[in-house]
Amino acid sequence: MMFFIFFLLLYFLLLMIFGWYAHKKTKKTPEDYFLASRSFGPFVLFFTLIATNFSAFTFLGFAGKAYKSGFGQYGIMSFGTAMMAIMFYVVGRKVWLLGKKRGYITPPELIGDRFQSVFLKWLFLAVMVIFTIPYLATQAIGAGYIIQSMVSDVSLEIGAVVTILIITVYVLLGGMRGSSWTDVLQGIIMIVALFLAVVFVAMGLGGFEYANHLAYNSNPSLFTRPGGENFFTPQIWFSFMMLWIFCDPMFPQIFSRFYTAENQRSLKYSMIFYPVVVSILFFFPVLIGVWANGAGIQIPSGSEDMVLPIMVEKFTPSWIFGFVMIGALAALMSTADSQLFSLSTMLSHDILPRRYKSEIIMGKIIIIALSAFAIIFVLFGYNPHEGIMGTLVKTTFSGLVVLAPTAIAALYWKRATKYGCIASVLIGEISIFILEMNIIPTFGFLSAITGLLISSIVLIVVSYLTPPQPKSFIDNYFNS
Amino acid sequence: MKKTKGSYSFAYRYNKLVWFTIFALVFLLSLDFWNWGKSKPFFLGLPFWIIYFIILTLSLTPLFYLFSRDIWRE
Repeated sequence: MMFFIFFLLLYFLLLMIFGWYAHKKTKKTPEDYFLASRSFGPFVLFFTLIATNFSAFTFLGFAGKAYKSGFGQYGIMSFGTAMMAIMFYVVGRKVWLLGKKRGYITPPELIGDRFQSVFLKWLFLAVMVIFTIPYLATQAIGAGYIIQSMVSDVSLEIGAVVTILIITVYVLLGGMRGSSWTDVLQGIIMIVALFLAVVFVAMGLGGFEYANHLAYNSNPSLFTRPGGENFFTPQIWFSFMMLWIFCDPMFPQIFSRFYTAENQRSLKYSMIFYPVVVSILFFFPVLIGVWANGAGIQIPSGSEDMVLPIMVEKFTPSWIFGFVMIGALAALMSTADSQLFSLSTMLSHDILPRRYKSEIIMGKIIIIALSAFAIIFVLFGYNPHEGIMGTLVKTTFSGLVVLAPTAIAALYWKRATKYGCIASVLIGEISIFILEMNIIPTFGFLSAITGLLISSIVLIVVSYLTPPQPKSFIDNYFNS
Repeated sequence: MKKTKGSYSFAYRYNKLVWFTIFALVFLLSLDFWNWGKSKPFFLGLPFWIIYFIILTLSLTPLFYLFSRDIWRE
């Protein structure tokens, strides 16, 4: 516990230093505070895209799911997420180009301007905000789990609230620079921590191969598919492979980062190296989750997300355990700070009237308000029996994936209309609600994927049924 | 022979189609239903299909590199 508290204080201190230094480097203009003046080179952009996407789920939820259902978790997460990097070209490149030429700062701003519709802009904004707040809160819950597991006197809620408050401070100070520079630090800590965790746990179990052997003898279904609890049906497998490709770029914290690239080379390198990190890093928590079965560890139902901390505590020296838990904290804080910042950017920039400095002040007020919302969600809205993944899939991922057809149409399809996009988003969200309620069958697929199909069809049909945008506007927009 | 704008544009579009097909095929390879039910340890106690996924995921890096060289113009 002493090592953890020492590492924790050191880590928080470094975050504050990064936040303060970013504050000193940030000019008082919205473009600099919210987008770091579009200045991120390949190194910072790559790490901020990695750290932002790897969250509490990577460390805790992922290992918990692997403990129950097995190695299949690696397949659906690693390949789908790595393949998603192609969207840095499909979506990211165009978003970057349009952002630079037309001065966009937020995702809804691009959508609203492209279709000349304030309603669509606000609808896009509302969906992003509503479905990201639960994701933000799950990061805080993850922090609560970690701190509670290390310092038993601290409750889950207190740990979560303290983490949100720390994030709030350095995001307020440093803006986009603060959020992204801390992402680099957090990304490096996270990678080193997961590597150390796997090496020491494998050694504790008698070696890598023997650890697999023990787990296989304990439960062979974890080494095959459909896996434990018959989780990996072909429909579920296909659904997850598709989900990450279309959902991840619709996270406001990822979409917004496309604007921050210094040039296209930054995006290009991020795309190329993404699969390397994903393929290695996602393997580690899955290994630990599966190995827990052979290590004779019994996790009560509903507490599977604790399997990684329990395994690391059992099989590593206390200083490694303390550092790995800091890595877990870094993973979720890097996601949460980016979410908090991207949401506040959208709310202050897209809704409030634009007046340079007041826009930044409003952004800061909104950061505080959103933090308060996240705290309320932690205290009253979370069902621990769903697990981190269950909560996320049922809220964030399903809600955000419906935005993908509109975003792609905005960038590529000249015949798309605002009515098509509005209908696509609204009917897509309604269809997901109906599917989640089991009013109509999903045939074993994730409701998010059925919702994605429905929203795509609606966009095409309604766009063809409604008048196109003036040719002069379209020509000007796409040729600019 | 000097390339005209039209032939250049055609070649570019053809290349895009080729790359779309390649990525579609790689995606289809991720739906490895032929490996369902297999669990026999193959390497370091891991079954073959896990090694298959590590390689498939890693193969995206050289593919993305070649794709960005061919298609992604700055």
